[in-house]
Amino acid sequence: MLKALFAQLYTDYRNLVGAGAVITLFASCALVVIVSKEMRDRKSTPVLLSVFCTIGCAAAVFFDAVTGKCKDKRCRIIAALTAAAFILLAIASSGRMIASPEYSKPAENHMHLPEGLREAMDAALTDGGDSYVLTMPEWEPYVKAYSSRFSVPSEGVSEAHRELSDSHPDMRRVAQCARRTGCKYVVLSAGLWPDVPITRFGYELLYENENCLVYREVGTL
Amino acid sequence: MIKLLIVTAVFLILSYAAGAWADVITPVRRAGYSAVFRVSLGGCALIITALLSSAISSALSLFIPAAAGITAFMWAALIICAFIAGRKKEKAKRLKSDAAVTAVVIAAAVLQILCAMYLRTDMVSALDGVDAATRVYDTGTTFLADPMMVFIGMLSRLCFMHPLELIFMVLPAPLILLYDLCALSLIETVFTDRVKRLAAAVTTVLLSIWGYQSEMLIPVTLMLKWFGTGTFIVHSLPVAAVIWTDHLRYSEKTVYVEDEDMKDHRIINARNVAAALAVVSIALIFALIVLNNKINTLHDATVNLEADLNNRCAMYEFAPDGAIEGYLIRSGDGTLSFIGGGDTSNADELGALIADHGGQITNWYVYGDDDENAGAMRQLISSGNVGCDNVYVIDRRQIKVTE
Repeated sequence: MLKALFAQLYTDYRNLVGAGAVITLFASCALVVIVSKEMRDRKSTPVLLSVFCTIGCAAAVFFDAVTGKCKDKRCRIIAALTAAAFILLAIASSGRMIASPEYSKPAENHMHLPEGLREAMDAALTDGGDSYVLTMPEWEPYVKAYSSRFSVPSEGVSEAHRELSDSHPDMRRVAQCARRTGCKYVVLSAGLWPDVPITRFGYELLYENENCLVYREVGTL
Repeated sequence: MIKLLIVTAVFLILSYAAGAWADVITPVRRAGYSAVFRVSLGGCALIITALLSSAISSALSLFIPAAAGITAFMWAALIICAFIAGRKKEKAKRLKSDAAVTAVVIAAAVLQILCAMYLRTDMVSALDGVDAATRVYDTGTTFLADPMMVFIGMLSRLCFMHPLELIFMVLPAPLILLYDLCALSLIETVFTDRVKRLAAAVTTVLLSIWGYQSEMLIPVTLMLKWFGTGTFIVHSLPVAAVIWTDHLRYSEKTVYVEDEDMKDHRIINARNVAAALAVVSIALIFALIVLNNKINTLHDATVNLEADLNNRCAMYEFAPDGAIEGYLIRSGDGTLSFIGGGDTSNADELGALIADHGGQITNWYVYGDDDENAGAMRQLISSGNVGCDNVYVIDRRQIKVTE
């Protein structure tokens, strides 16, 4: 059972690489800090309070231990480069680079809102606002953070979110969800290609731009 | 950009002033402190005071001018008390920071600040909680919420900026700089050698750039949530570590006892056992975290399973006595159709089956108009147990297809 547990842990670690890597790195570096004579003599073990500083100090101890053994200058340079490469490898494998194209893109505006979304929300606010809004799942935090006059339903929208994650959503279900949760406005991405637009299901187009479409429930003021 | 520079400069000046508490809390005669530590300590003290004042204002639901007044009063009291208390004590010696290491850390902080200001991440859950700041900004009143968000909402109203704009265009500079200086102050305390300080400082700042661990750790990830309470708690701990280290080094020395010293040289001693236990504990914690992630993944996959199944097209056989008498078809949009049905003896069971699925048939197809084929259908519809929009008779004839 223990063998199966460790096998499963290894598989999960491979699948989740990055998610627990900093914990593993911190644990290893904490051991280095605890057993390091220099750290103990200088009573520096409180550094363990800080995860990043523990890893940094362990890297410094490791660097010193590798280069300290070399007597001549050339050996010291090679040892320093090797130690630095090892440390950089440990850092790079400790997590995923936030400032990479995989996770980031240049911000379109000062509020870091998707392009066109600010104007779309302003159109809804000008129309009246003060209502529940159904929107793309990845836009919900922006809508909530932009204005307190918008409310985003927390329940009953999972079906709509599933549809809106597809490039050909069933707008009838989206409209049903929106009405059931009391959403006066529906803010959608212009990149969706529904077979039947939501205007056939009780919502009218209020505003559109290159990236966003805002619909309002027909018959509401 | 001008607002960013003004806010950062004011914050650094106030932090340096509030950092006068370093004269009070450090063991003065033996420990000293650098300007980096003073700014770090003062900055953390200012933020803790701001959180406290925001919590008080929220509890009292004060308007923003009153809340801002309380914050300003508490900051002024913090700084004035620091100078008054420090005046009575002998001044601690001022240590000089290594200019090269400080320059590297500040350069790295500038890079982090630029990334935070000009790159938009797809991890939108980092914005969770910002709606509280927006509500404070829109309404002009504080309310019970995360004190950091209440403070940001108050600050954004005073700066005439939307909270999102304040968070992305102004706050990265003072906060990220403060957290990097906190780490530097600890590294300066731990090491005296320049090379070691440089190695530790570079490693520490690079860790933030490769800092995305998982969705769970976003609230404490510096490059994603520098404006969060969790990030402040995690990244201000180096200051506490500096104070603790100074206390360990410069408190009264204990009397040397030979037996106690010999214990430290045994293989199995308290320290080594503690280290081994720590390793086992960390391994178990890691195992728990991984298993928890696995369980959560399974839960997410199954939580909507029932709803998914209900939303798919499905067909059910109606076989009351083992022989198939009909088929109930549920379409993807939830409408029901039925084919067959049989005679009146099937009515009760058929009625129960249809009632389990909503009780309303849109289209009913029977094989004939007689009682043998449509008896159950007629009985259920006439009794009102089942609703039906349309009934069709299928002309079912077997034909032979020859080549």
